[in-house]
Amino acid sequence: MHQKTLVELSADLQKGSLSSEELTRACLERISKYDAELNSFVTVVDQQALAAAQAADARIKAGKAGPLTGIPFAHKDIFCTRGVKTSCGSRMLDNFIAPYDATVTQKLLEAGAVMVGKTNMDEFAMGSSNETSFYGPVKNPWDATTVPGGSSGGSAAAVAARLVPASTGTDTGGSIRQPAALCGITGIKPTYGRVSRYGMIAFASSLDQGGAFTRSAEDAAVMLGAMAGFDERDSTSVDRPVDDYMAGLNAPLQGLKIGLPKEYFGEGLDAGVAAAIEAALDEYRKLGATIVDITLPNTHLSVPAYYVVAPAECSSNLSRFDGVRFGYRASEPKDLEDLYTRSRGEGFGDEVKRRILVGAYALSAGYYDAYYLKAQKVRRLIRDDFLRAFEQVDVIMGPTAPSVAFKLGEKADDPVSMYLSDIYTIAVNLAGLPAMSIPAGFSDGLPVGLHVVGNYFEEGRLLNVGHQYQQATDWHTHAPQGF
Amino acid sequence: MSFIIDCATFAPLFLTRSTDYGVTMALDASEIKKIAHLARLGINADDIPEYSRNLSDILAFVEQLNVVDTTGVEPLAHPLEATQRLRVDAVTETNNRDNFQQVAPEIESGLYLVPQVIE
Amino acid sequence: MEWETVIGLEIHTQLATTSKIFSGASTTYGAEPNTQACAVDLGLPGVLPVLNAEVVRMAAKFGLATHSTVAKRSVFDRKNYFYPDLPKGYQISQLALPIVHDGYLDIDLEDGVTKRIGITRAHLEEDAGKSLHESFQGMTGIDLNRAGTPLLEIVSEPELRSAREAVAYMRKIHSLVRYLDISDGNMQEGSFRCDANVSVRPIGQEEFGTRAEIKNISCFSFVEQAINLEVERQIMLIESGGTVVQETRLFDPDKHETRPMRSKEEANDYRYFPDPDLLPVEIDDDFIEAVRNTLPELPDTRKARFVSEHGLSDYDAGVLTASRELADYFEAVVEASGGQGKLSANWVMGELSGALNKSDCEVKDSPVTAAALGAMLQRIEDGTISGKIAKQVFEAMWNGEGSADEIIEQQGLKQISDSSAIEGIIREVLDNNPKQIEQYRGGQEKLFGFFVGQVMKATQGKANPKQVNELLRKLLDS
Repeated sequence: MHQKTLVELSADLQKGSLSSEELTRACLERISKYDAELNSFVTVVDQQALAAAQAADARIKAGKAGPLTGIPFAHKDIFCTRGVKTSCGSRMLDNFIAPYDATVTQKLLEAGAVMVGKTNMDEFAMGSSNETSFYGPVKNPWDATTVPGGSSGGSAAAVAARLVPASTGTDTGGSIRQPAALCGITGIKPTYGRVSRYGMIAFASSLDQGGAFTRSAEDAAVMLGAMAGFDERDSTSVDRPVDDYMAGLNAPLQGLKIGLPKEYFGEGLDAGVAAAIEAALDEYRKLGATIVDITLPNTHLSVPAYYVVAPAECSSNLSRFDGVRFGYRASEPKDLEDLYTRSRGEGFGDEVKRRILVGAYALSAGYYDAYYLKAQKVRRLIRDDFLRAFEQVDVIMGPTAPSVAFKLGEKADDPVSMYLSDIYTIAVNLAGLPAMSIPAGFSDGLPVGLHVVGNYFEEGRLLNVGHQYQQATDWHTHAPQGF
Repeated sequence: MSFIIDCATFAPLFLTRSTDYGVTMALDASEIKKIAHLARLGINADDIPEYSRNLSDILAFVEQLNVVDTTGVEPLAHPLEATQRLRVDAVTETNNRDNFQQVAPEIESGLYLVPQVIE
Repeated sequence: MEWETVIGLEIHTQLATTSKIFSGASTTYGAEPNTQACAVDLGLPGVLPVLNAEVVRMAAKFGLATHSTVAKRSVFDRKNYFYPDLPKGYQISQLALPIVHDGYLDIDLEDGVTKRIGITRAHLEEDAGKSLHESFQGMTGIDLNRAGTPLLEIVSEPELRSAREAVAYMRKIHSLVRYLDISDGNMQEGSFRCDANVSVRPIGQEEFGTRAEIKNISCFSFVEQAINLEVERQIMLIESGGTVVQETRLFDPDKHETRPMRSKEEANDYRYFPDPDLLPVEIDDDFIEAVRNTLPELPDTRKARFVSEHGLSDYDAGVLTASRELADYFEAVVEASGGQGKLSANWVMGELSGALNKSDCEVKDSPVTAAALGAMLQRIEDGTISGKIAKQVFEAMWNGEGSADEIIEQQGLKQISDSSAIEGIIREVLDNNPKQIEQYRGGQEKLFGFFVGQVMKATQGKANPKQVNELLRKLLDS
């Protein structure tokens, strides 16, 4: 049962050959069996999940079910969930039982999806390996000595290990796509503004975007369909109807123009990854697509621009964690200053502190123009590169990450090297474009992700492009050994 | 085959390190302390040298931005460049204090308590 | 050395919206602590701000009323600092692109001169919560009900040259925001308060001296006292060889001094940057025109009209237009009195204002309505009662004894205008005072007043004074 996709499970639920309660119990059992090793969950909500499953079964019986009704999912611990701990992977929020639901939480629960727990993540989504979590690193199911990627490492590992058919993630610089690639699953980050950020604990507001992990593009269409939509509580949410993502999945790819940025295939790209991507492009040629060489000349500036903009926004976003109204509070503060500095000093981990310091510095008097303003100008150049490219092509493809999963601890002490593992994904966040990663083979026995970037609001096309590839290949069906 | 991406191998396309770039950009201990204070972030004295090294690395890395000419380029604060939507002036929230204060570290008579504030 | 004072004011006025600037929580004053602080106001993890349409409209109204530019595009920034009453660790404000800029306001000085004061800018921002310092086992309590209340911060050019001018300017802004119906201006509740930037320089010197900022002054008389004290302090300091340091100070009305604020000692680095949770506010000409159409007649225009239309003096027109409520009341009295502008002005500024002051009552809460007062003035005009009796009628009306007509009827206050009746009473008075008649006719003409008094006394003031005068003179001089 655990090898079935979300869409297959949904069909079984509708037919009545499977109940949500059975399915949910099966997921909970797999979690208790495997997660002590993987560490992909921070919180598991057995009782709440079973109650939700029973309610879903009643709803299915009453004929009021949708495609997600009764489907168990794992929720990244960055989304607020009323009555359930929402830690954001931080000691700062280890005691935080969210008093309200994020819009995404609300939408998924209303669709009848069954939340089985909250997944581990890099602290406040700052990291590319899931090693910055207060709850310890997550293991990659393909090789427990490697990282699952980050920041949504727990969500990716849980789906890759077949603990749940789907999970949520957030992507600020690649935090959905990079772990999807490293864990051999499908991950989609929609256009900025497509999924509400309300109740999603902010890292960098102008870059953060919620999305989903599944094992297929078709499943991703179901998840995204439920998560997306205008939210009046989010000023940056876009008021425009959500496309029917399922409807376009089967469109043929004949005539599809795929842009291939020459900048993505330079030095630094692992040869095995490059080979897998070449093979995937051949497959697309067979499906009728044409490959067009393009250039994104400012690509090399995206990581530096990102590491100004994201820390700047984070330094301000994380000021609210001050030990006064919620979250960690240092014991016996001797004065107000002590309350602030110790609560924050003890509540945040190293990487978070590093980014807060960089951000505060970049915004401080005398440096604002040189760093923040400059980065926002470069950001426009990066976006304009994409806009020009999309005048020529329908989608842009390349590797999601420059290598397959790296070893735990390998880059933990070298922030800059860690930042470079997001080198292909970051520009997309700066531009706010939709993108996904789909499994495209293996290198040295570990999964390789194909990165597909679309024009604004073309999530439907991305899913179609992914689905057609997955009809022609079976990379997405490979499960890690033992799962 | 190695999975390690040594950032130096990205050169020359991806300039990375201060050493690659030839910029000396260092934050000394007093600057780290100043910024830490600005951010009300307690950091151990022992960790300051490492913060100093890390931050200097990061700043040197982002110095690459200065290579590109951005004369006449408008900063892009938001990808979609949309404009602010306005909310109707109406009360939509009701008293939810008890729920919100369940997660509060220290309260009394409905107030959040902090060490004495002196103006 | 002769010194010149230079003052710029930053006035914070709460906007009278129903809900907060970025959340749907109520802005009502005086609720139980933290019962009006919703998730957004508390800055809970994950919450986001959405801008209230009304604050944009109100700010535009203020801009139009002060000849300012209402910006087609304005941007909200974050001002980052830590303080317990600031839940998010930043205040959402506007720095580089405020919604209103480059306007002016004319103020009237005591010597009758009008002075134009430049308004640099007016920007929107959120108010902070309140710290309650009464001790909770040595701790401070934080109430965030006020957090997120919309504020318009109005920044003047440093063109005010005395505490008096500063107060005149502040009063004018106070009157204006109430005219515009964008703020209740309630100073006790903190809806209207100001920071004063004060410096001194030798007369004739061009560059400004170093300024001190006096924070959070909450009433007009304090503004005057605080500025005067600060000016004195600075002059004494300089003259004794010291230098003024740029700092934030607090006015202590009890100790009658300004002193440096401890909590703001260090130079703040606010790390302003555009709030990424909010998008630029764009408004078009249609919006601005629609706002323009809702503008009431403004104080200066109204004052000029009172002079030309109701024949009032400049001074009277100024007093009556100082607040919109008073001006509205006055115009309603004029209408009810059948167009008696001058008489209405005298009564509103005289008896009515006196009674309001005595009972510490606002004009909007006056027990004597404008219609009732106007009706009474008609009775003066048509001769039913004299001006003197009217005061008695007004007092009865104030005490809730009924309308003017009812009181006149019940208390028999109708004026006696029957000549033969008055003549009879006069003859009686003359008969009873032969000695005084002799003295009067012997040249002591001021005794005329004595006879008038006797007649009025005999009629309990009801005799028509004009007729009494005429008949008395005729009988005495015959």
